[in-house]
Amino acid sequence: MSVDAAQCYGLVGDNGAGKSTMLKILSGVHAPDAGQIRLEDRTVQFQREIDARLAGVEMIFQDLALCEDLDAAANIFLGRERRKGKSRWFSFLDHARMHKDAEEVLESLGSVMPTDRQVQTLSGGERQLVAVARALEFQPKLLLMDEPTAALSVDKVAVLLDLIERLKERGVALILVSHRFTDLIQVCDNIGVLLHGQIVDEFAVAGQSVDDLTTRMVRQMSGIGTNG
Amino acid sequence: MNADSAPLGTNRLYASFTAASQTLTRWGKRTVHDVGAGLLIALVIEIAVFWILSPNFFTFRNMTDGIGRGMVVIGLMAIGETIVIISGGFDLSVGSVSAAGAITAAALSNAGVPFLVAILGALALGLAIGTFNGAVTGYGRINPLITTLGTLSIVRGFAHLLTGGREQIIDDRFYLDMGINTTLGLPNIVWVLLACFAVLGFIIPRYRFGRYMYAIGSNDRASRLAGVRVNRWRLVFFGVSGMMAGLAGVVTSFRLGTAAPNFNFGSELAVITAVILGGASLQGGRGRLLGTFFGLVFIQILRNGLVLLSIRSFWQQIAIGSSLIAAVLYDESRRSKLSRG
Repeated sequence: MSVDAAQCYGLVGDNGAGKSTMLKILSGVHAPDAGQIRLEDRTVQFQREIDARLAGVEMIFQDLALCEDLDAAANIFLGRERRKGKSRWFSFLDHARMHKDAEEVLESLGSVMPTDRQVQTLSGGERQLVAVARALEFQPKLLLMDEPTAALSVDKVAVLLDLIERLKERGVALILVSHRFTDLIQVCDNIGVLLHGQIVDEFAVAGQSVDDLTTRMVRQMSGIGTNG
Repeated sequence: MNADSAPLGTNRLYASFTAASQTLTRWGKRTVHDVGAGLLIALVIEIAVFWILSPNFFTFRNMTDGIGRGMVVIGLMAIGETIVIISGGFDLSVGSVSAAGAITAAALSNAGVPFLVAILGALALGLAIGTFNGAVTGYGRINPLITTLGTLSIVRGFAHLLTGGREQIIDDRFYLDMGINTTLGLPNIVWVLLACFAVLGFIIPRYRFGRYMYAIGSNDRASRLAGVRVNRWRLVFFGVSGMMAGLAGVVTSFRLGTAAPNFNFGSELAVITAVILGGASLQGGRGRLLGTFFGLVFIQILRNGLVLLSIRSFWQQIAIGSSLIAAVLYDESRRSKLSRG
């Protein structure tokens, strides 16, 4: 499979087809048994999560992987805190700047929320925004999202899909794993169907009706069709 | 309302008075927020009860000696314990490590080493044991309760072995002077405790140390995914706890002029109770150093008050154990209320 900059690739498959495993390999959580990952025409190998992150691959987990007891700004800058001064050990955290920058990045995502509220007090949609904002702060080339809409209410899903469009406009490549076909059809340029760890079908979304696409995905996922 | 018509001096005085009272109100609110209203109310009731029952309770001497001096050793260990518990760990070994620190400092001091170096030796030993706890917990992925229960026993065992179970008398006058003398009305060792609270209270909100302490305690997986070297930081948190315990051992020697392998046996209970009373969560991620300070004051007043009333010491154990369970129950009820919205 391949995905271009400013494009979105949707990955579907039945439970256990290997969607999450695929994302975990791409984000450096697991090492691949076979095959290779190429990023911008270079073969890359990720030993751990931080390697993938440094190469420009960000992952937003289904559970968002946020620290509930920290505020939004602290979560966005976790692991890369803004600090006053250059000293590795002795420079203070720059709280004011982190809150200001966090506000800016959230605003660029079309949201205004207080950055000093603990994440556990935020709504599902707001938490999702914090996770996306954190990923963006790393300026990713490729953003992986595992079931981003699963925990959201219907109106929040629309907001998120809108957000994905904005990310595409910024030139970010996205890979989306979701059970919700309609969401994928709305934002993805290409869709791949995964069965038993193999991509069994791949097709462009443009110019096809929602019904046709859905039928095709369902047939391929259950392993019935060859060329739906 | 008309500011111009009032005399300038009165006006200014009034303004500064308003500013001062606003600052005080803000501090008060922050203290209540950080410490928790429950503990503060319990503390007020506790003080009132002992004040009424014992004529010797609310005296300057009892405040500085019975309560102040009495809470230093537990307090030093509680500072380290707070850091470990907020970061999602647990340290049962503090009492044993304090004994090891005390006999190390005593042995060094009696061998003719300057007192400052002897004390640094005790801190270094505490740091080493604490780092070991952190390594086994982090890299070895062992539950910290088990890890530190092991070191509790190992360190205490070595302390008895290496001293032959005997008490060492410390020759250096500095030790007794530190234990007996006062500065500006407060015992020197109370200043040591306050200094440690101040230093860590300064560090925690300003450095990554504090940020990662809360982050790792809150969600260690998320912290690791964000690129935080979780296991390395665990070494730091447990290391600081060990170091504070080593210092607590030295302070015990200040008070007694000796060092013995049975120092602070069983003191974990009071230490952990102070921390939990102060609002630190056993799940990690939540807690305040200021809360621990008030939890410590609560525990020490309890111990002191029961002594003043000549109640048998076994009741102390019962009272401290009960407050530990009460604190955890209170915390749990507050949490479930929170999660229900």
